[in-house]
Amino acid sequence: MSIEIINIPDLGEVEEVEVIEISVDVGQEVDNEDTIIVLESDKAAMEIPASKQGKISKLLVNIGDKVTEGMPFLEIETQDGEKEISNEDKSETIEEKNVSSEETNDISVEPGTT
Amino acid sequence: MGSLIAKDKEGKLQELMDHVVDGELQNFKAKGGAYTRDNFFAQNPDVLEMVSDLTDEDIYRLNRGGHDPYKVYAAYHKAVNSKGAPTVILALTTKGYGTGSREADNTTHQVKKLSMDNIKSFRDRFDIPVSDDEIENIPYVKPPKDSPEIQYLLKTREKLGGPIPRRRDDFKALPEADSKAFDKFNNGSGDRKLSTTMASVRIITDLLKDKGIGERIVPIVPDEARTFGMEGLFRQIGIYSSEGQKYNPEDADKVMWYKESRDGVMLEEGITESGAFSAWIALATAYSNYDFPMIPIYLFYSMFGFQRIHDLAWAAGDSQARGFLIGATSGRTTLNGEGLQHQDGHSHIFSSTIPNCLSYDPTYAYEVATIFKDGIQKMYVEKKNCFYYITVMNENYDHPDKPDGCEDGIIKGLYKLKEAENPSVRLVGSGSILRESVKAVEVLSKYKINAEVWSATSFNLLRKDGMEVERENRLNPTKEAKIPYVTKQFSDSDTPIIASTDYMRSYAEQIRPYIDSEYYVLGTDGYGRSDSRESLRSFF
Repeated sequence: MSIEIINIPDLGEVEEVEVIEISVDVGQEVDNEDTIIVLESDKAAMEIPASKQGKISKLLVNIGDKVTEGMPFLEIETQDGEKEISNEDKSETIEEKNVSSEETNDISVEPGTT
Repeated sequence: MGSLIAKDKEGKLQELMDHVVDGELQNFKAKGGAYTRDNFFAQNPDVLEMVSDLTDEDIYRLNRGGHDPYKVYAAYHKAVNSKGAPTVILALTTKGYGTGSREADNTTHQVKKLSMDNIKSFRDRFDIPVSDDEIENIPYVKPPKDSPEIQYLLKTREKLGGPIPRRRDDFKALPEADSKAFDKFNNGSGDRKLSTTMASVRIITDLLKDKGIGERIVPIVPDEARTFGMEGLFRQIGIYSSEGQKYNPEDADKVMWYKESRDGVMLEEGITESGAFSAWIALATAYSNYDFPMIPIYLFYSMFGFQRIHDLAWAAGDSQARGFLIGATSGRTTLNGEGLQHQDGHSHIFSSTIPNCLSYDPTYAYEVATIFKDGIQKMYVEKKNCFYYITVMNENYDHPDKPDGCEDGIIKGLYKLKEAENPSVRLVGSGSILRESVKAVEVLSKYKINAEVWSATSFNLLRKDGMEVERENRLNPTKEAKIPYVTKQFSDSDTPIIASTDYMRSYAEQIRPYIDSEYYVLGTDGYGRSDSRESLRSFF
């Protein structure tokens, strides 16, 4: 069991954004794709996922806070040996799930298609 | 024709056939065998030689593949068994085939009656068992019930669901949506500024997580997802791709990366409104075709909605489609910098032409939420035959708290937004311009004029109601006359009313028959202008 600190990921175009919603409670069990907080720029709302599987031990931001990439926002209790799941790995996992009988990697090439 | 083609060892006949144009083909049948010999076969002396043993009549009777059942079967068989690419069959035929002297005439399409000679030659040509005595009546030929033709017909019809085509118009109602997605807009945005587009996307994102109906929701975009701030959905629900994602996207390490997958939910159709709208129709009629109601939500630049695909929209209404259409960047003065072709001042006029399209032009997030909630309720729980068109904008401003008891008015198309003491004028606004009406109150107060403000979420629905009430009263003259909703709202006094919208004047003008007081309408007629929003609004 270890406590991990999760930081705000690369948001792309925007720099500073406001926390408009907190979607979980302390003590809640979450999967890596579950939304923890919602941020809003002047164009869009962005849902930030846990990116780890575990139990919420502490929320480090409040509604109304302005955050930027790299700021810690979540403390999560994970099982030992849990790897951080990056997006690249994620797409691989998802392709594996989707594609039962065909080749599975990020660049999926179906045998036999033109 | 087959033996002729067999003779064509050097492909010279094939070459002539490949180059002949439709109009000439028609001439050959219209003008007969001699003309065909001289103008087709004679183009090449070797080919002319190939038909030297045929009479003019023989040449005329050379059949075209489209009328040869063996060739049609062979072509179809080949097409069905081709893999890897779409196939096309070009079938050459004769206009008015079998009608004797009328064959290949340009007027065949308009022929209302065939002469008895033509009918007899048709009968003779195709061996139809009708005698000369009977033929005057042009009777139906009914093969016996146990004949192979009738047996085939009945069996095939059985496979298709019976002899009478039918429409499934009932379906198992969906559960009500969880209010959570809508209630969050009951409280104003505080000092946060957002647009109604962002509010809509927020609602859609929340509905996708709804335990009861989430899996029925399908957002559809024609390549404009980022314009509408929907890119967060790429990761959350994925973009549907029938072949998965065949490359590693450039933004794979970002939180809003461009994720495609076979179980993606969002339809990203590319810049094709006809393609996107066709996908919408397929989902919007799934309740009937598959007994599985889906909730498609198509978001597009409002100017490229009905104006571009009205034909499909009309067909959709006719097919009793149900779902949501969101016209974004709407209103004449919304997209000032992008060129006049984006400045939409008439999409609500188009939507008003479709009888079962309920169209709304809301201003505040709580109005958008109320309309969405009502839409799901009406279409999927109460199963009413309608679909929704909601226009939204990309202007960021703060949204007030939802006033108590305004829901009914939002849905009917009008409610009072701001009271005033002894008002000398009523300002009615909608969409982007309602906020200008609100600002006007302060301006007018400097001239000691008190103004009331009303939010008109739908002039189209106010008119529909007015017309229905009018008709009911006309057909029931002895009963107590009913009063249209909009008339009732203003019945307490004859204070003059000024309506302002970001649409052409006829949009708000259409309720004039139901207004008893003085009524003035401001709107945005014309192609628009290239200038700042402020200048545009001042201009109109």
